[in-house]
Amino acid sequence: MDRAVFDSAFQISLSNTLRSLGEDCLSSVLSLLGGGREIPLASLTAHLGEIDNILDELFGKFSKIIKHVTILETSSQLKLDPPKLGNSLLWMVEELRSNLWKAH
Amino acid sequence: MRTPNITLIHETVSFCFDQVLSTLGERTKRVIYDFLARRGIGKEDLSSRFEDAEGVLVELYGQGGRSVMIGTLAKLCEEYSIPLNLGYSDSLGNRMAQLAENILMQKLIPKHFRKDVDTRAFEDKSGSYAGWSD
Repeated sequence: MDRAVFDSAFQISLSNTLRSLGEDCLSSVLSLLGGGREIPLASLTAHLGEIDNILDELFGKFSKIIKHVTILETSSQLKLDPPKLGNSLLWMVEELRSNLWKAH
Repeated sequence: MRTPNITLIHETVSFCFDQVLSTLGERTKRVIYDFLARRGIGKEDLSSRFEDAEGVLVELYGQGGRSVMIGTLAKLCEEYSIPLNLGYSDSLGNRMAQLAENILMQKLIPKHFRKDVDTRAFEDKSGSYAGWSD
């Protein structure tokens, strides 16, 4: 499977989850990532470590749930078993990527 | 095996909600249950009063509180192996209603219930066939 397909599934999942929280949530995250200017959605996977920190800062304890939903949704879109759910979005994405390689 | 019915969906929604709350810690979980109970929303009412519960959590924690309800829907979809697709609906309450309708129409059984039934069946069998039992 193409890397772009994985990235797109992740971007859609994260943006849908954030939009469901509230109208401004997605734009707040994109704006914080870009240091005041919204970065394009397509570049989300390039900022995984920063997204982890921003979600923690913005949503506190609830960031863990947001990360879990994003991973469950990405796994469902890619028809893969979800990885073990933890605190780090970066690690869960890496684990999901390796599940994808194992599956193909 | 029990046929899928509305009671099983209610039970599964409560089970998923409880699992999501566990990620926040036992104290926060207790506070949220207390808060909901004070508003007349019991554990067994969560699926029928999904939007009310969402309102209470948003009132209590702001937009982050809504993540508990989104997490509950995500776990519910995992339980029934169906896609979450949050973009399909304008509100979480409507998505909950759509999912419940889908589950009933497709007669789906949640994973935790299947595991429970399998374990009970295995234990019953091993109990009655075990050499040391009468």
